[in-house]
Amino acid sequence: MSPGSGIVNGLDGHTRLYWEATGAGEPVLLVHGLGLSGGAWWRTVDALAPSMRVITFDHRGIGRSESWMYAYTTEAMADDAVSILDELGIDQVHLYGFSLGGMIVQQIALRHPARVRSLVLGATHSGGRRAAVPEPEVVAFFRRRARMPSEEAAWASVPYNYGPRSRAQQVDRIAEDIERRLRNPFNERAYRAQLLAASLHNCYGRLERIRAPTLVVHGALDRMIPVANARMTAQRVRGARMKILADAGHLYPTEEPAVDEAIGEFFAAHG
Amino acid sequence: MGFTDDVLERTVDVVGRVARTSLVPWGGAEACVDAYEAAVRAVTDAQLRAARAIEVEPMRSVLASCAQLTRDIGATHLSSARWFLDV
Repeated sequence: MSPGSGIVNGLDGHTRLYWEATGAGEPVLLVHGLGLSGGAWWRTVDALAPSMRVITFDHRGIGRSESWMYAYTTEAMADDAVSILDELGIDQVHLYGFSLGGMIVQQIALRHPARVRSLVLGATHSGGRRAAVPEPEVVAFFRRRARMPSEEAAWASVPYNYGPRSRAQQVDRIAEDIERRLRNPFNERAYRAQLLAASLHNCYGRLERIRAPTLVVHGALDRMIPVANARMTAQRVRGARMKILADAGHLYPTEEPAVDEAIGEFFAAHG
Repeated sequence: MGFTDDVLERTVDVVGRVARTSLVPWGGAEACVDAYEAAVRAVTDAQLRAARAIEVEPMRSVLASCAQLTRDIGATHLSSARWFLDV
């Protein structure tokens, strides 16, 4: 199959989802987190595309995707992702979801289990009453961030997104992340709708029903989604493996580039 | 944890316990929530099938939008129910 890009038009006549595919091999769908476009996966795409067909997309209301209503659920966003697989004629896929994307891929694994070959849950949680919540300062930042100018918000989020080692030693990589992020205009309504989806997300009681081979990855110093969530998820998903990155915060793909290689090996082992 | 949070958590626990007990005759809380989810999906899928079959606009987009609303309102109910019932 050839690399490319396209738009999936929803049956409602208003929803439009932009996707991109790179590389050849077994397909993997990357599902990104809060407020970010598919382009934010650039580091991971470069790492996986030599051996896999890597598909990214912009969530509804973000980047080049559109939506008519700004009230989302992770169920709706999971169905969006599956509509892209339908458009591309892909029956079964490896899934890698990061943060909010991790919540969405849990929903895909539960709502469309036959479509999932394997699952990587990155820096995410399963929702529900037992989810470990971030410190109040972090919650306040999430709310404040929606009203901040894009560049200011991107830099203000650094202490929450990255661990101390990275903030001291990887300033160039952080700046690269922010420069990429700012290429897409920030849609405040879509951001708030995604926040709503994340707060409504609740798969905790159903994690045991996930049958796909699963790898849980998390930064030990994650302030956005505390690492206790990874341990809880790995305990509840049958046979799940867990990889905790000792020095990393929330955006571990920037802080620990080697993790993409380990994730590629996990996909290869379950191809 | 503050006093208010503690009281809230205890209240939610009690409400959840009462609700779980009251659902025992219908197979238990988890079975009831699953049945509701299955019903939401069945109605959503039926609306989507109808939208695909009817090629006339605006009927098609109205049906598809109704399907989305059914799914999302149902998802909100399910999330809240699972939170209270802890299932």
